[in-house]
Amino acid sequence: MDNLTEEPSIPEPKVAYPAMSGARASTPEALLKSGGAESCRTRDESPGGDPGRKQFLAGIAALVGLGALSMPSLVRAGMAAAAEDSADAPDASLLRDGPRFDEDEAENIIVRMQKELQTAMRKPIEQRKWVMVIDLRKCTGCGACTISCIAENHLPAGVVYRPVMEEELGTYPNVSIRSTPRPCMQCETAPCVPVCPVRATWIRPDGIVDMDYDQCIGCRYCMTACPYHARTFDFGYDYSEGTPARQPYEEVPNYEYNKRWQQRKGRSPVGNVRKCHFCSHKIDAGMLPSCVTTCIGYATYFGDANDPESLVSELISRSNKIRLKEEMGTRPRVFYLI
Amino acid sequence: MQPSATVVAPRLNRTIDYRVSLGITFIALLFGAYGVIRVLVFKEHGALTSYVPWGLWVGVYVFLVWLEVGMILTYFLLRRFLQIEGLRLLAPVVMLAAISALIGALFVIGMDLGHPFRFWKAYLQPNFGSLMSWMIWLHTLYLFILVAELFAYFKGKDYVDRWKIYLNFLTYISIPIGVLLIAVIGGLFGVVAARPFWNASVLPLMFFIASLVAGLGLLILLHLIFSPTRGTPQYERTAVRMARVFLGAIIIGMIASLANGLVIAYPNVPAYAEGLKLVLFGPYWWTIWIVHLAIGVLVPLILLGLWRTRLWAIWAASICYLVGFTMVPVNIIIPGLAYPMPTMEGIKEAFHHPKLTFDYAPMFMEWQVVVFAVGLSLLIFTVGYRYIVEPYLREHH
Ligand code: SF4
Ligand code: SF4
Repeated sequence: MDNLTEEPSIPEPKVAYPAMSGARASTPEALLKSGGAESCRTRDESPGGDPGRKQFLAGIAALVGLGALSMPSLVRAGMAAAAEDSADAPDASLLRDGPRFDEDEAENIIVRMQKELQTAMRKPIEQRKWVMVIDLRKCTGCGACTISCIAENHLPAGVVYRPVMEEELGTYPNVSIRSTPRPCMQCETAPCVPVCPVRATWIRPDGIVDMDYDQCIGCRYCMTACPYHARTFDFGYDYSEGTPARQPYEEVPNYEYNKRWQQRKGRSPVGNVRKCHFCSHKIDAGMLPSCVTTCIGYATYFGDANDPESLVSELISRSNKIRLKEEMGTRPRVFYLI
Repeated sequence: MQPSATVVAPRLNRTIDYRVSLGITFIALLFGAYGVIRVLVFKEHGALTSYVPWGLWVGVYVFLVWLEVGMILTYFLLRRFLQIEGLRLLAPVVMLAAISALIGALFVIGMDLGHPFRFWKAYLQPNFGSLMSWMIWLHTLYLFILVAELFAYFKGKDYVDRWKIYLNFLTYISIPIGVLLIAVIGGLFGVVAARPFWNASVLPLMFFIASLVAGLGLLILLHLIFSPTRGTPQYERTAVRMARVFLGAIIIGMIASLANGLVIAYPNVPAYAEGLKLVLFGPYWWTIWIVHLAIGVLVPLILLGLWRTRLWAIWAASICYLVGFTMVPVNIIIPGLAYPMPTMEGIKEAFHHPKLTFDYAPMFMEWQVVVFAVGLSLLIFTVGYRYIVEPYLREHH
């Protein structure tokens, strides 16, 4: 899939990602048709899955999908109502120029990013430059991305890849809340990488900071080196800790880094450091990261910054973009629009 | 110095001493065993969290390394540069004590790993761009040097005399390796730009000074307890001369720490000063004010200032200093981690779990592991003394 082909064809995934290998595997066409919501339905629908777990996770996927599809209209309705209610509503022209989309575009924004991802996947890996853009003015702090990430990567208790930081700004009566999702910044000069004594973490040619759980000795040096607190340690906790039994969903393996990982005490990834990887296993299979497709406010964008036509290229050229702790020179690949 | 004609029988040569020491060792091992089982079998990591990923164990590791390297460096400095007499026959004791501390250190840091049985990867697949790799390799090299030297003592006086030139060579190369090891460990923390409290301190230098002073404290104690010159005028003369150097070293250490602290505190930039505030006024303020500064610095200063020619004062000062110093590495490591980085303060409340917090206080099982490591060090020292040092000293006797 890394070769450029004359005829743009759907990339054949090479990875053992269940959504792609099962009989009902999601195809990129299906993803395009479903506006990316398909990407929420992944391994849980693969044949042989536990029916209880399937139902449970399908339920979550349906809820998140429903939310994703219905939110634009809900948000618009809400905004219209709010505008009517408030005589003091701010003049829209005073708002800074954020990524505003017309109705059709808004609903197809996921489709556009999905298409761009497909295009990027036809290039050799070193010619792709994945970046994420998060529009803080649109983030409602709902935590859907946090939860979808946990569902996608089957994160155990105590491990989180994309928490949303909440800040209260100002003093009464002039107050507001800023919600800042914090994935791994996939830093271009990642300070977490050179400190690893066993080369268990490195930067992929497309910029994603990768991990090898089987190589990691769990020394946690990389955690101390990350200025964004983006690495968490898998202490081996279950959500069902202290209850009579582990729940079926805790038995489901995850497929991070295109490998199968079963959560068991003493076996990786327990005892390892874990972090957000932009859902690299999904990207490699031609899909968008879970947090992108489930963001109810269309606040998270993803794509190839090397493609000048891509949405993310457009967005990161704006003057209202910032990066966290830019002064440290880590050159994050996550941009925020403020 | 020539072997003294007045050398007396060393301590621990009596079965009763040996048994008491072994008894203490086994109590320590027994007490700590359950903590070790909880780490190795139940895969627990104590109170460590994702935001404070290093804690008591790393602190104890640093302390033991300070002792092990500092002891050898000061032994060398006192004998070669300050020409203090009466220390020659203490060499095997110092080597043995250093190896014991080193093994305790390696054990406790091994327990800290998420996958302790993958430690070999650090040897076979190292990343020499990481200071941690350097630390592991230098530490191992140091271990080999000490073991080789101790092996010579084990083989006896003739063997030592025969291989003297090589043993001297080992001693000489152990000095730069020791200095490098300490600097690397200080650098390991110091290079982490994400932790301003560490990054702002000149940790390689501070660790070096700390290692010398702590090592000297232990060396004095070893001399007082194990010196073969015990009971002779030389014994007291050596102790008094060492005490003088010790007093100077404590004062230098104090000035260096004060200068470092002031540089961090004066601009009062929160990112840097927060760690210092935690040390001085945080929940564990007493560890620095009472344990370190009062017991570990003030008492030895008074004792050595007023009665440095009295053996009891030297005894008490070195014990107090060592006890007080145990808290220093922990007070460097934990406060450096125990607060969110500037602009990332929201992370504190972003997602709730007991392992996603900046609050850390060592759990009982962590102390158990530390006691086990100390027991392990004691075991090696006791057995080594009985079967290596004692026969060697007896030959001289
Ligand atoms: S955010 Fe942290 S973990 Fe992610 S690449 Fe940067 S330094 Fe590494
Ligand atoms: S915890 Fe793992 S990835 Fe992080 S530095 Fe240690 S070995 Fe490397």
